[in-house]
Parts: sequence; C-alpha cells; structure tokens
Amino acid sequence: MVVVLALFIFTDQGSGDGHGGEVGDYFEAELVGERKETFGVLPTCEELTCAEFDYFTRFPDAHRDLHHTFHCPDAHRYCLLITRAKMMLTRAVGLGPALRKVAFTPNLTRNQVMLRNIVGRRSIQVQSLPPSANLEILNKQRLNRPSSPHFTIYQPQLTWLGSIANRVTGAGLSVLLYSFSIAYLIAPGTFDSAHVVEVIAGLPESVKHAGKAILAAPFAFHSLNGLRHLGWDLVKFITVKGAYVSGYIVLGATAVSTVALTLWK
Amino acid sequence: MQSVISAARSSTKRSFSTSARRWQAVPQQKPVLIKEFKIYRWNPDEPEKKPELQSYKIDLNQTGPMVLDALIKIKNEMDPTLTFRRSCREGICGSCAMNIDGQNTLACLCRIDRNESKNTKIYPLPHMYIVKDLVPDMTQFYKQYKSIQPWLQNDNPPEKGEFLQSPEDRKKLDGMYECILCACCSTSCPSYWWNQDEYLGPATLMQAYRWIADSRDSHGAERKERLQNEMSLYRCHTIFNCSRTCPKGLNPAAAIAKIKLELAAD
Repeated sequence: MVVVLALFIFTDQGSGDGHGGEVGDYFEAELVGERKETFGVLPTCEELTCAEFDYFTRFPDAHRDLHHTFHCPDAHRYCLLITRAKMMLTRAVGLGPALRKVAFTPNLTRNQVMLRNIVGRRSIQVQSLPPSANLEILNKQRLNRPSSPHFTIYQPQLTWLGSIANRVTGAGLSVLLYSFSIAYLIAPGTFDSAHVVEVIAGLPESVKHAGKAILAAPFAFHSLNGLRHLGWDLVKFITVKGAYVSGYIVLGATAVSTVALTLWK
Repeated sequence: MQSVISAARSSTKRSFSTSARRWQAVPQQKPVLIKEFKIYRWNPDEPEKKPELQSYKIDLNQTGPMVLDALIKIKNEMDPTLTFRRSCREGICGSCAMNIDGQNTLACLCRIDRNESKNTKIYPLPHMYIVKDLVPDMTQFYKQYKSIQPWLQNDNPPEKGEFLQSPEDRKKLDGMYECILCACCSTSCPSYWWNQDEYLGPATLMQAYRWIADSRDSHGAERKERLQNEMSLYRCHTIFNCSRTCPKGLNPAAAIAKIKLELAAD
C-alpha cells in the first residue's frame, strides 16, 4: 500500500514536464497527459485516490468496468500497462524504500531533480500517437500480411483428395466428350463411328487395353462417386464414418468396374 | 495452523532417519526424449522477410501431454517471441486452433506424437491472413458469423413466460449449439480457401442452420432466403474436411446438407 502511495507521488512529479527521454516524463507527458487530452474526464490510474487504486489493482474486473463505463475498453489495457511498467520499474531498481521515504517527506522536498537522481537517467524513446492512428497502422499491417499455406501442408485425406479426383475425372470426361463432338461437327468424315472403329481395330491389343483402362477408370469413379453425392444430397450416410465407408466402397467398386470394362469385349 | 505443526513434525521425523535410507530416496529420473517441433514464424515488424519454419527441440518428459503444453514451454523457456492464441487449455474457448501435422485442431486437445524420430509441424489455420506467427486474422470469419444474424428472432413472443419447446425440437439443436467457432472446419475447407470472400464456410453455415432448425425462431424463411444464391451456401461441395477435422466432433457437413435439402424442398 505504501509502495503504491509512493508510486503516485512519484508520477505526480512528472506532470507538466517536457518530453520523452526520461522515465518520469515517459509516464506523465507522453502517455498520461495525452490520455487526459483525449478522454477528458476518464479517470486514469494516476488520477485515482490511493484507496481506489488499491481496490482496482486487487479487483481488475472492477478496474475494467470503470473503463467500460467510459466506453473505452482499450483504455483498460493501456492503463494496466502503465501500472505494471511502474511496478516493475520500482521493483527492478529497488526504489521501494527510497520512494517510501520520499512519499512521507513534506511536499517541498519532493522535487523533480531529486527524483531524477534516484531513478537515474535512462533513454527511452517514445513515439506519441493518438488512438485515432490505430486504424491507419492496422491497415498498413494488413497490406503486408501473408496468407498461410493451405493445400501444400494439409494432410492428404480421402475426403478432399476424393473430391479433387471427382472434379478432375469429371472435367476430363467432359473435355473428351465436348472435343469429340466438336471435332465431329467440324470434320464429320474423319470422326464418324465407322472411321473410329476402323482406326481402333488396327491398333495392337496392348494399346487397346491401356486405352480402355484409361477411359474406364475415370468414368467408373465419377459415376459411382456421383451416386455417393446423390446420397449425401438426400442427407444419407452424411457422417464422417459414412463418408469414409462409402468412399472406400466407391474406390473398390471403381477398381472392379475398371477391370471389368477393360476386359469387356 | 494444524497443518503447519504436522508438517513440522513430519520434517523432524525425517531428519532422524538414517543416512543410508536418505541415500535411497533418489528422485526418479526419466529418460530424455527430445522431439523436434517446426513452427511457422512470421513477424509483422519484418514484413519483407518471408514466413519460415523455425525448429525447436524440447524434452517431452519435461513437457505436458498436449501440443499447447509444448508451445507454452517453448514460449516460456526458449523463445518468448513465439506468438499464439490460447486461453482455456481445455477445448472450450477455441483460441488455440491451428494446423498441427497437417490437420486443423485445437492445440490444447491434440496430444503430442511421442515418436521422436518424426518432427511435428505446426502451422496457423490454412489460407488465412497472418497477424503474427500462429495468429490468423479472424475478422472476416466473425463478420460472416454476424451476417447470419445468430440470435433468436420471433415476432410473436409468448404473452407470458418463456418460449416453450418440445424435447424433440430441442434435440434438433444438439450437435450444433456446441460449436465454439474455432474456425478449424472453415479453414480446412478447400471451397472456403478459394471463395473466402463470398462463401460463408461450414462453421457459419452450421450456425445458420442452428437458427433455422430452432422451433422458437420464426424467421426461418428470411434466413433461408439469404442463403438462396450461388455463393453463400452452394460453394459447399460436400468435401467433408469440415466434419473430419472438427475438434469437438460436430458435423457441419450434415447441417449444410440439411439446409440444401430444405432449400430444394421450398
């Protein structure tokens, strides 16, 4: 309690003093003075009586409420920072006893010079900004923010790889269908059924099988996975377990159908 | 006071024990189990430096069981500049959502893989703007949540007392009201990665359905009307990453499927 009292008197000394560069000035001129200007009637930790301050440090919620009352929740954090910094400072320098002594000496002897000698000169450079600068700083930072990595670091899972496969096979099959149809429109003589049959009949057996497998696999997968999606749209087996079980069934069925379609004459 | 006295007594007793006995009381030494954590780092004060993975090696036998314990240990003992969100450490606040070994989850609910030959990679939630290290900017996510008007709307409140609801109607909300909005699901969704600006994402959509499904809410039609466009809802392609990753075991995919069905039936 006594230390707290001393703290107040300690900071009182700094009021009305010049600018940055020193601890006393740092608290008073840069932060507190500015806050007084900005918030007007808002009581800061510095303006509270000792009893009030003691109460608020012991009950931080009440302290916060105080700031909320004045529609400035940010001020709370600000205020606590100052308070904490002060406490750390006094503890670190071991000023407790000295300040206590200062606290109980008559007002006349408590002058700026004396306090500065106790504290010692420290160079703390502080840039003073009004709270309204907040948004500008935030926007400047937002422009620089990187986007976190996504598919390159995400664990490969049946869920999203299956979805990608569904897309790729769907797109591939569509491209094939459309390009063949357009080709037929442009050159019906080259791409009619008789011609295609003729060309394929002339290919070696291995190429025929490979070609059939390449066509059959995406077709089977896309069709079967489509059934899975229709099920989900009817809110069937729409659980993680349902998704995995149905996913593996589709993969198995795709393998079987691909082999069957490849060997089918 | 009693306990002080008894403590004093027991310590007196101990001091009389033989020295041989004292020698036996060796504290149990656990073997050192060094595990490497690779953590995504980016500092807004040095924006020109690209994000990178920084390696930290810690002894798992001197660490708590969860990934959050490891992060806190690293921050406390090795690198105070490491930045991440955390609060409740028991999976109810949703602050420590991040991507651990490729999966979005809460660091406080994720056990450390004790296999020391494999490192653990920790990234922030995927495809989010990064404020610092593991802290993503959630502004958009919260705005989207706000846009579905997540509160009870009813023009005809009961004349007396509170809104009543049958146990069956109440049951419809189970599995939805438990959502803690950690954003694990939304940021695991590839659709949300590519269309974050317009697609609402699984977390927000499940909450939208939470209010549509609530028998006490009478604005279901308007709520559905707001989703009746190409982007808000229909960018969901039932990928299932959301339900797969939810650290609370909820099922946003099912909620979205139900909205789609209700919209189709309208």
